[in-house]
Amino acid sequence: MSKTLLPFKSEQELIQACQKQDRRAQQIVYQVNAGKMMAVCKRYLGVGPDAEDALMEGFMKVFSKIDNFQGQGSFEGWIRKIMVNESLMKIRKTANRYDQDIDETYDVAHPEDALMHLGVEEIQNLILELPPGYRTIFNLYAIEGYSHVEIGDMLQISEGTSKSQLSRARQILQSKLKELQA
Amino acid sequence: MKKSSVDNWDSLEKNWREKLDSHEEEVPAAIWNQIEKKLEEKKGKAVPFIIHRRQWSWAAILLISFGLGWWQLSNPDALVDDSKIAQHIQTENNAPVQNLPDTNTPEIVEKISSTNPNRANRMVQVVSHTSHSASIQETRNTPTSISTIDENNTNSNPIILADNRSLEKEKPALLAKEESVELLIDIQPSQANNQEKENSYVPEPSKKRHSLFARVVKQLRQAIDGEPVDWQTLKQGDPKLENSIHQVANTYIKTEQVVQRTFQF
Repeated sequence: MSKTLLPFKSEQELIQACQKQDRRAQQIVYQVNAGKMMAVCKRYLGVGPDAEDALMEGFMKVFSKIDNFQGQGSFEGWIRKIMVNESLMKIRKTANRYDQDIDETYDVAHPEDALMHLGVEEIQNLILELPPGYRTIFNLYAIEGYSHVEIGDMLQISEGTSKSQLSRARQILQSKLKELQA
Repeated sequence: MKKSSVDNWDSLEKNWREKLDSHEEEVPAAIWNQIEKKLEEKKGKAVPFIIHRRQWSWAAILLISFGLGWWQLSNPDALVDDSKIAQHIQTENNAPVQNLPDTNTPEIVEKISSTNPNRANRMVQVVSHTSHSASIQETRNTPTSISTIDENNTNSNPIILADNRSLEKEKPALLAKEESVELLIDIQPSQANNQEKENSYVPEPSKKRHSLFARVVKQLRQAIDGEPVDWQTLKQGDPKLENSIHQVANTYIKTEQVVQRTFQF
């Protein structure tokens, strides 16, 4: 990131300039993070205008709420949280995809070794093929690293529902891989 | 189906997390343009108050001026000129006879006369005419009876209340017997004293009095010039009014200072 921060000497200086609504600093923050954040939004919302809208609204929120950033944790992690929240808001607006309040956990086989050797594009495509509800919970748990309790709070569902949907997502991923190999 | 080992799935997901963490997607260039446009719009919305701060100070001055004017108009009782009060009192003295309502008069008369018939303090004499069957017209005027009472009570300065309307309602048969009832009503000493004060007030006709607004402005000018200010002269003995004036004056002075700083004069 440091090579693209010029003319700012450090990330701290860049953030301070953003807090003063310095347009150049804002543009640098956008240029450094936009690609990664676009990938985050696409993982939740798929390819299309929704992901672009979430990215744009997310950055608007980053620049308007930057005074709230206290320096605890990484700046990129803070931006990522905002993007995830924006994506979840978009999903909530489209439909209620967490209405299956099932506490049943599915038995899932060991993940195939082949899954460990998948490339980024293939992983991304596999995740996008999941139904939206499973995809969201898989993203939050497996990729972002949230716990089931945190996911329950974020999506207003029970911890059991989060667990059951995760195990179902894993099951689907396993079967998708078998289809690919076959 | 075999139950999965959590560790295996966890290690797989860790592997995927690391790969996806640094993954970037291509971003359309139009998105930054839209963000920049929105930021400009947002900035533009915040500007007007700063730009028009001068106009705001003038608006505040105008508002205060109109507020004072409105307040003056909406509180005529508090701002009645003393000369008008004196004039009003004089008019009252010239017309000592007042009519009482039909319904209240007999009750008041009976009650007071039965409880305190012999009181000789400051009195209001109520004369109720219940007869004069021969000539009602003559009784209505009753100049003799009132003037007689006036002459007898010049020192005590009474208010004489005459109920003539009852005459019209009573039947002629019942009015055959002529009688005159004289009633005495106490007035509170404090009221009597106030009345004395009011009656003894003599305005100064030659001295021209300014309006309250003009006096407020005069005091404010003195305050701005650093001269001593006496708010008591505006309206003595009315703390509510004084407080209001103090508040308005403070706001005026602060606004004036802001304007002076803004325009640097």
